[in-house]
Amino acid sequence: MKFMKRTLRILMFVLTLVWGANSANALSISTTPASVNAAYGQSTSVAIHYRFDTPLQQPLLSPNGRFFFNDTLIGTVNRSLNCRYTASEVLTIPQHIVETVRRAGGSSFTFSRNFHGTVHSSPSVGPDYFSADGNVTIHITPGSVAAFSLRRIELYFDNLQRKNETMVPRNFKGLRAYADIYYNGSGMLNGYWDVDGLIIERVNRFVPSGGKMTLATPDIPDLPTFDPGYHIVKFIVTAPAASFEVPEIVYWVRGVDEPVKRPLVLITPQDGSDIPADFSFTWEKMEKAAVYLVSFSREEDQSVCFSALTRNTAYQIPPPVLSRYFTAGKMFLWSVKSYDTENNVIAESGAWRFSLPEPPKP
Amino acid sequence: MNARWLILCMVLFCMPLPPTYAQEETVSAANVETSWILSSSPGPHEEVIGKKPEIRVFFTVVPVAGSITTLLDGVDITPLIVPTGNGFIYKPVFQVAPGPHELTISGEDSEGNLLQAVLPFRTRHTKSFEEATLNADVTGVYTTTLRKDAHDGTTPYNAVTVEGMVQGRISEGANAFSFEASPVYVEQDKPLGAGSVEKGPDLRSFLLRGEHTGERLQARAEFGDVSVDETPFTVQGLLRRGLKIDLGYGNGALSFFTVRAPAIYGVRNTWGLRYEKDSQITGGSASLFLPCLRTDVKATFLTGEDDSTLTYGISGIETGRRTGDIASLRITSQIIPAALIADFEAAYSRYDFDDADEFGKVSDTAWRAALAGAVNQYSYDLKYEYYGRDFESIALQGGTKDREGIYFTGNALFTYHSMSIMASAFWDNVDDLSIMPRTTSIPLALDYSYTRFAQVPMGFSVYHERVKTKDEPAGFDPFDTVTDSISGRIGYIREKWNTDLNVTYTYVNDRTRADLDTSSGSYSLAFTLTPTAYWTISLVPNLVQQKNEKTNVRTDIYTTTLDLRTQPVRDLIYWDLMGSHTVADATDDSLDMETTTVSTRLACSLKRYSPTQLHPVIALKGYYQRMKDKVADTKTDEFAVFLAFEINGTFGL
Repeated sequence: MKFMKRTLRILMFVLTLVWGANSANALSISTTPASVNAAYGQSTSVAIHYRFDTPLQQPLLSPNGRFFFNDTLIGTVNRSLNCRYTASEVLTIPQHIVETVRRAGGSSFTFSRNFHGTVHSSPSVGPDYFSADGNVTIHITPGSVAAFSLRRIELYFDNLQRKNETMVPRNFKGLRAYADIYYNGSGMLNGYWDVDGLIIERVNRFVPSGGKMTLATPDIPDLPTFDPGYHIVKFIVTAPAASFEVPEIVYWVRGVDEPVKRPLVLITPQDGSDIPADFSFTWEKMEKAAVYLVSFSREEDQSVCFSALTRNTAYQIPPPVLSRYFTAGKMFLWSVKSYDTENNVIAESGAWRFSLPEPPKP
Repeated sequence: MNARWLILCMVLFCMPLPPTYAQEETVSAANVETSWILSSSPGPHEEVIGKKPEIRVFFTVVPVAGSITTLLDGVDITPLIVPTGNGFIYKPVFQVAPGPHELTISGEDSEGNLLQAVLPFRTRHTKSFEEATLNADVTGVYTTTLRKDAHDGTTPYNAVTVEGMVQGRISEGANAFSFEASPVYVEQDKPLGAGSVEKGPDLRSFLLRGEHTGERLQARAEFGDVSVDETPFTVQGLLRRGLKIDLGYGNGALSFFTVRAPAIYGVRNTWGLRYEKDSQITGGSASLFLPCLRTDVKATFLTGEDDSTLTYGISGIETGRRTGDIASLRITSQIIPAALIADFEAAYSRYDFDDADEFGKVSDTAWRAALAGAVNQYSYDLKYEYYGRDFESIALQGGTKDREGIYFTGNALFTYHSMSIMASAFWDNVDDLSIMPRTTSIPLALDYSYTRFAQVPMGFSVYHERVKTKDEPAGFDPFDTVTDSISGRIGYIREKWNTDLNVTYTYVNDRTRADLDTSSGSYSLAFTLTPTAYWTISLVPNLVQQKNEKTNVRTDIYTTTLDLRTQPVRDLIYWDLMGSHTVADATDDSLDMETTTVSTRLACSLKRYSPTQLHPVIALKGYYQRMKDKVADTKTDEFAVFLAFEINGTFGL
């Protein structure tokens, strides 16, 4: 009797499964995109969206995703996904899967997710068993025409030295962060620069095929440097979906101000003048200036040929110097810098041209 | 031929030389009569200890007033000397570099005779070391939260940060040792978010350097955060923790480095001293300069492993342990100095993108040949590059591979114009695999600037690129797009204000059946007002539009940024503010978002109550961020106010 009961239960269960399997035929699933291009020689990340044709009362589970080539299982993504009506995931197509297919002589393969489970539609009817497969066809392509996807992000501050951390004085001007973005394909890149959790610029631009581009924080305004302490910079990408965490870099602001460098106004001689040998070079007095450095350079190579220190706002080239460093008829440049008592440059002029006349012929 | 040379020589001989104001007089210590100098401190050839040594000179024959000219290392210091009756005193304004110096004095005696003297001397910083400097800069900030949102569980009530920079250098003769380190300390009563900065003391970066600069032998050893730069195919601009040694002897040079593969912040987790088997890059190079051929030959080899995924400042998709090695030979020759420089490099790599899988290392090659140079106002760069399908350097991950192409850039710089052009054509699928299509890309670019009016700089850029596939395998949809982009810029610069307008429009024409055309535009106007040296206000409105031409859906992002840096009371009260307001909106109602962000600081300097080296400040700081998503029907407000005490100290020896 007991055996009969057990047999009946098993039979009921098998019937339920069969009935459930029949119900699954009624459920279909669509994937977007239906096919993607995966880069050869790289891993590729793509966002996959699944959608049932009918919303269910309870979600179905897909315990993993599987890569198939010619109906042979070649890899598994051990990440479960629940779907009641729609679901999304960022799928990373590993480089070794692409390599496996290429070595087998294939040009495309499939990623498949099976969603299954029982759903209690109503108390009067028993549980319904559902099972549906969502498939994405993957083509192997060169990186330039692969699905637009990010491969790597590198952040740094200094465009030349690629410093990934720095310290600047307060109110330093011109601090910018850079992001080298390595990617496959081409498309619209959306994201934003974030400093200490505050959005400082949104980026929304078309990225041509090429594999790498460099983004920078704006020039005006530059990164905020008015608050001493440390500040964390991130570039957060919102599209395309990335499968990796966002990197960050840190800059520190010192508690002392960047010296304000003001323009220093030259007075005489006027730019481009011919001047006599005993002419005085003059400029406007600068507040807090402890000393002025007057520099003279040759126009042809801009190299400094002579300089002088003075506390006055006028300077006359001494005759011994004139004969040693200057040549009549040639064009020279002169400029002035002023320094405070701590030897910081507090003002700087532009360079003006002058020439000395030919000496009278005997 | 000989007659031509003769005529040329005669012309050159007859050409008048530019006149000088007096006979060139090369004053040297050897041939100048110094009997009119009674004594000096430092004396001739004397070595003095000090960074700003006072110079005293006493005359036996006092020059006529106003006739003295004094040069220290060629810089006229006459206006700064203090006459003392029978001499003068000079107190240097700037630090005098250690080593040899020359004081040149000239004047006229009462009879009009020229007096000249040259006093050579040496300086050193200390008795033990010719050069010895130590500079430190430390900033401490204590912040207490006055107000924050009730739901804000991450902002601390009290926080302390200390940050500094210490630099030092000692040298004696040809040998020098220097160091720089950046100590930091962070403490607060809430956990720090996941990231690089950790609680407690740390050194955010450091570098120790020893150098020998001899006449024939140059050597340099660096330990800490070193920068490795060899060749474009092997490693360039790699800033990592480790050891680097460079040796140079005559025309030859050797280099060795071993650095950690991941970028590292601080020394809390590692100093980088230990060799890490799974994440270390080691290599070296040998180079030889052949002066007769003006040619440099360089051989480079490196090997390494990298198992990192998210490191400081870098994040990538690859997750396994990558291993690889690469060898390269580079030849650079100045065929015509500056005008024609040839650069050739060939490299061979072996690389395994994941040593846990069934595939081992794959080898491949890359090579390039380039010609570059500059003639007058023109410069050019022409190169051919080939990267094999599996070419990869462990030190340049994510770099180019499976591509060949030709590239040309040319620049012209005139008085009022400058122009650069770029034209290239490249192909991928270099092995012509039948399973993949082959893509051809042809980008062309032109950039022009007009600088006739210094106050009104302007220019434009044009970019055109076609990307097309061929030999597509069955089932692959062809790819054929043309991208056109044009941008213009114009500014207006005045003494107290300036403005700058930038406009860019891009159209991507999808020439396949899918016809997925897109267009985008970016319009930005920057306006900066500087009424005084202590007030700067910048306002930047910006609009970015992108449109899907097929669905006609357009997304607009308006951003207005305000930046204020002011001193309402000079050197006493500081007020700074940065704010932005962003509206993002899509015509299909898929996006409708507003973001407002304000961050500000009002500070009072207490410097007048403190010693010279200290800069104490008390500040009120705050931030506000509001995000409103009308599609998701969510709204968040974040607001916090802080009181901070900041102090900076600068010390030097």
